[in-house]
Amino acid sequence: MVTAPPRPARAMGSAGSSPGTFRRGRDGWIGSGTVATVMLRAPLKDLAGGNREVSIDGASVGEVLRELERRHPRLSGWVLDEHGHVRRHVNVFVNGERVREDASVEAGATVHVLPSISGGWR
Amino acid sequence: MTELLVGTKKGLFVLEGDADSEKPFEITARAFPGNEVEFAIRHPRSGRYFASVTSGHYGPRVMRAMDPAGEWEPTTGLAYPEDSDWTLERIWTIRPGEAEGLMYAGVAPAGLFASTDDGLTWELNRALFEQPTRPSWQPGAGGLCLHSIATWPGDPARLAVGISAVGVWLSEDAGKTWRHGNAGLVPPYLPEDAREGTLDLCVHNMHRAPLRPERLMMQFHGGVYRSDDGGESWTSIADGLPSDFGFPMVTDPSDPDSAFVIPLVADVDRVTVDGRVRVYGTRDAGATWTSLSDGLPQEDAYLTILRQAFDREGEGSEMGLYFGATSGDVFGSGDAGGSWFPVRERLAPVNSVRVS
Repeated sequence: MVTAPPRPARAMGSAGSSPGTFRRGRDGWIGSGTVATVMLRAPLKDLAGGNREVSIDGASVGEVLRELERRHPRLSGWVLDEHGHVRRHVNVFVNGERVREDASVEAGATVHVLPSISGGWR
Repeated sequence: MTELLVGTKKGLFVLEGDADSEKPFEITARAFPGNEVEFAIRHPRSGRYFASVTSGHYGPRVMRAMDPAGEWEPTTGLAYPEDSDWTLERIWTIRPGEAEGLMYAGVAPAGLFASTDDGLTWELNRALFEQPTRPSWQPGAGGLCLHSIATWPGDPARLAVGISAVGVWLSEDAGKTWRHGNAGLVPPYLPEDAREGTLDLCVHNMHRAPLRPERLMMQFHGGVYRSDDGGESWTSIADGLPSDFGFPMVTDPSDPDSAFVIPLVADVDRVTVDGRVRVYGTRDAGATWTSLSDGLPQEDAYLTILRQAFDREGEGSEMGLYFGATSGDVFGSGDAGGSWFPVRERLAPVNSVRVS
């Protein structure tokens, strides 16, 4: 069954803006022209070839993070678990709002991937 | 010189020293600070180092390196299928297999992964994962974990694995099929009328004797056992120990009748018995046990030694023995337990100790 494309690019709780366009990929709908800037810190930055900023195309947080993993395979499994969920103690912010993997991403959005303060070992 | 890999709640410590000098070992490297290192080994053939690292934020993975003080690279494939109901939580053990490039990893929730490229990529053993009883598998206090992998020297097809708390599993076709090896194991933590045929069997550690591979030794959750038939059946050998509870076990590879354990009080009070730190050894297949405590704390010492935190170096009367406690203390012996010395004090809580 073909599912509907993600809602137009919009961080959770934010006001809407012009939607991006979409194409149907092997794994569902993929945003097109919805380029976000993903901001990374160590150790993720190091696993992404030392890049603190990575421009990624994707209409949802999940798409952006999967594309990030595809481009930088050493990151696989670090942010998303094997079920495609953002790990419990990782926080993702889109334009300053904390979101999960199903949130939409506007073109030009800034996505921060950060360790949560809850995840440190005792 | 001896190099120890000590996995702790606060990273990997690499220690180096000489057991004959009985002086504390130097810390020559520390890796993964702030992350829990469950286990670390140096592959005896390739010389490559492997560490099981669990980040509180980014999950568990196996890292590998040629130099523990240098750059570690993440390995891939240690994950349950996307459509499964399990998520990888910890990697309990990493073990070289009996073929070039072959390695195994035991994980929680309980599963076995194999690598054929010297640990760079890993693949789930589907046959064990798809056991029809899997939905009913019960965890021990440390989780539902596959922690012991006993290969058969020279024969990659024959495997025995121990799971807490799902007993012993045996394979003779390199993991394509599995069967139980639980005859004789008695779970004292279950009512008597619930023991028959139960799978709730909490293996704590299991080792095969390389010179007599049909012999295995096991520390159980309340019991110490020996098998003389490749793990099909088990005989209690706990008589003579101050407690039959404990976690780790070591065997002397040159002596199939040997086993060394560190008794703890019981399954609730998991500390050294009577506040005395004692290793017990047998060299007659469990008929008798000898306390090996010279040089170990014998007063007000309530230590917990976890299942991967005990290892040996060499064999025979000059075998080195090393163990670490959750207190952060590491002890060593250069004469098979005849005398002990403090290798290092006040590290972070120790999960694992391996001689590299």
